[in-house]
Amino acid sequence: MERPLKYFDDLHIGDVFPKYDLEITSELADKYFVAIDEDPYIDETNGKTMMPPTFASVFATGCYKKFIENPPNTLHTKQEYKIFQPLHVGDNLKIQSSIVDKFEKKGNNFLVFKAIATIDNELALISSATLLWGKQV
Amino acid sequence: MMNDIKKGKKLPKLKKIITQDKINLYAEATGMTDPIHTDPENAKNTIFGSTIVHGATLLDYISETMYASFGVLWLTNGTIDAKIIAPVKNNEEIVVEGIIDIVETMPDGSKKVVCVFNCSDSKRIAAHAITTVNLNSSLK
Repeated sequence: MERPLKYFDDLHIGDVFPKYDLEITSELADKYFVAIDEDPYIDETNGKTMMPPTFASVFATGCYKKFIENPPNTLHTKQEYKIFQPLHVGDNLKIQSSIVDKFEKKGNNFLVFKAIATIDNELALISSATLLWGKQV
Repeated sequence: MMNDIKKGKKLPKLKKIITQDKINLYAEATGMTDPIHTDPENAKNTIFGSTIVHGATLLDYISETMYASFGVLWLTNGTIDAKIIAPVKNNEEIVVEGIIDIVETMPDGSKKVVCVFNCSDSKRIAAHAITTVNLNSSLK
């Protein structure tokens, strides 16, 4: 799917992105743990690999990238999350993200994304991220 | 899980070296492929002068310390509120330091632990975070 490039003025508070399904595959988990230079977490009760909560937070608040492209030099400045259940390899997350705030500060443009992730209709994670949105060049 | 949970106790210090290979893997895994992270040539012409690590990676390092200290409870009910203060360039060493700031008994008898973290590179604090974990959470 082609993703349109969206600048600050193109995006608005209340914009809601389509629901997005993320399957936590073993390949994705392996890649993520290598990238963060960490050993996988093994759930002693079932032998399954558990994921760091930041993993889901990053995918949840970043899922807008499945639908739009951000300008270059877009950066995270704040990130919050609350986890409600452990995440395991094999879980299917259903994620929905929206824009809940936008503001300008010191000549920079900021967008705040909030995302909710569920597993089998049960809440798994609420996350928000404040992004310094890249400028049009 | 760590013993002796009380206000002022330091959590295990964590050190990580940022490399371009790790940044690239993170970008590949998450889809966060902005050139400021992945293109060293392009990054030379930015205000940073080199590629920088994804800010969320610093949260992962904090999460690693929380998992080492509080085990599966961190993965079950943890919260984090983090501010990325400064960019961390490729090849920097990150030091993650956390301390227990509050141990609070909740109305239901559970204990809530609040920790404060700083992630620093060789020059400055790059990220600051407050985390919480409930120690008496029933596991799912």
